[in-house]
Amino acid sequence: MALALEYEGISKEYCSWSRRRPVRALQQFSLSVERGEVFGFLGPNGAGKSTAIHLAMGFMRPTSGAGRMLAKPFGDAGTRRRVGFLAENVSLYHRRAEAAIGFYGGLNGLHGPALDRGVKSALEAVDLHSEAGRSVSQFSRGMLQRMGLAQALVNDPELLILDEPTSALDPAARVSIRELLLGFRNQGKTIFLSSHLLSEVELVCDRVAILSHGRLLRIGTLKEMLATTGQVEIVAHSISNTVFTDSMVDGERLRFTVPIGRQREAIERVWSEGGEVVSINPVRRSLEELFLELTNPVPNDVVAGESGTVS
Amino acid sequence: MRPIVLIATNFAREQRWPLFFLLLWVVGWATFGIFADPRSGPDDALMIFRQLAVYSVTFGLFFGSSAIHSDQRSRRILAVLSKGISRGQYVAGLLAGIALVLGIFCFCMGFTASWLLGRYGFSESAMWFGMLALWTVCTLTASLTLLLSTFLPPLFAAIGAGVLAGIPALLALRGDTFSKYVIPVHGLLEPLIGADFAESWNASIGLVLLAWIEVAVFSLGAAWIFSRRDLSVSVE
Ligand SMILES: Nc1ncnc2c1ncn2[C@@H]1O[C@H](COP(=O)(O)OP(=O)(O)OP(=O)(O)O)[C@@H](O)[C@H]1O
Ligand SMILES: [Mg+2]
Repeated sequence: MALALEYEGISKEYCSWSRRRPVRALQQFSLSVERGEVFGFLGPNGAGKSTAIHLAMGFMRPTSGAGRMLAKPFGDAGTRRRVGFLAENVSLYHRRAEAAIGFYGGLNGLHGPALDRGVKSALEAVDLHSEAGRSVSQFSRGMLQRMGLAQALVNDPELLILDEPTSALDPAARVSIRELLLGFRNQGKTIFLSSHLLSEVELVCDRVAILSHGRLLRIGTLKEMLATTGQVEIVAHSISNTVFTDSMVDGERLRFTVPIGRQREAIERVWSEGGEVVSINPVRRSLEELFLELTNPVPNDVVAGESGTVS
Repeated sequence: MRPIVLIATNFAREQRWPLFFLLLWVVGWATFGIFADPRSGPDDALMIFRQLAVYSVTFGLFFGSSAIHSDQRSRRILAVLSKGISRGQYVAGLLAGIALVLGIFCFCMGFTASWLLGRYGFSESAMWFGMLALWTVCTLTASLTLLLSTFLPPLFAAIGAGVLAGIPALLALRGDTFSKYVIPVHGLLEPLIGADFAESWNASIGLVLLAWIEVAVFSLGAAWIFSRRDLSVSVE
């Protein structure tokens, strides 16, 4: 399938006269985003997410490596007409909302009735049509972020690149933006989104990549990534809670987790103690757990006491 | 072309307050003209006129040095350059915006001057030619500053442009003919600044054309360098 975004062995170093050593923001970074998918781009602060996005938009050039956006090399002005971009900490000229969006639409080659339609539908999409006549200078941070999204949507882009699009939004606005993004996906458009709101990402993204210190740690579909804890949760009843360490009593029932390899042994133990197995389910970890695990690897000796071990 | 016009008018809009304060000076000058006694001679009016000419060049340096930097510092440049425009179009838009602001100022100044100095017997057409020369000089120095600001901090860009434009002007003042054509600030401003009733104001149209060619060269240079540089937006 054709790719929406493609990074090929990109490294980026920030150099400055005042600093002796350059800052390595990205190191041998490769990533492909397919058309039509919602791709979550995750990583701790300073991981290099914004750097990677700015490279794709042509705001800067890689120190080495190359990349393509909608099959054209990064930085191609014509290609950007088909892309909508929202920067983190968005900042727009202080004009009336409608005029501001009109200005950005105009820069993308829209004019006349097409521009009017674009402005109207973009403001409606982010629920700011009732504020169209107000100056952007009077907007709250969340409203500004929605304005940023509106200017990204004005040209009905094929690819949306969003750097922390919902960080300042209230819960209701977050839900409506999520629906907007899902609607976008249903139209076959591509969304590349960096975010720290992992629960949001879990709800909208098909695939995610986790970046740390400029290197890609993990990439895959959410399904694959979250299913692979290697643990199962067993629920049993009529059994004493002293049989399994770290088990949880839940009414009449006992809940505990064991590694998949020891599942059979655990079930036989339940039976031999006179209990009944109620359910066995693979443990899905949350994206947050995976994120923390990958980005803050805890030394082995700290996790020695694994839960659910058979005593 | 349309993106350039949009960026230019947007720039002029953003600079409406500096322009407003510049125009206040012109209004002050006009007010002075109303109350001055026409028989007392033109010296005071001419002095204010020269002051205004110097201000407009200074503002040209200011606009040129800060245009790209303030867009980067405020992060507003990101939304602009994320659209389907090239860096060259962006630079051209800014320069056109600077020329527009300075053009409005020079026009208002010319309008006032033709009435005020006209009372002392100045030729009106020479006056308007003088305004064209002043506008040209302002835009020329602004374009040079804009070029330098693509790789220097604003203050250094302004100082650098002042020095680069000042050296040929000084050499020309000492009679060097070639220097007259390199950034022809002196050649264009001399008739204006030194204007008195004994001389007629005549900057050569050839110099004006040459200056606009240099504006084009500087802005192409600015576009070329800026397209090869990383944006340095503030992190906030
Ligand atoms: N203009 C710059 N000059 C020098 N270093 C920079 C610059 N911009 C970013 N960096 C450095 O590059 C690294 C990556 O920064 P980047 O902004 O890409 O991170 P991020 O993943 O977007 O972080 P966050 O989640 O906080 O937005 C950081 O170490 C940062 O300090
Ligand atoms: Mg970032």
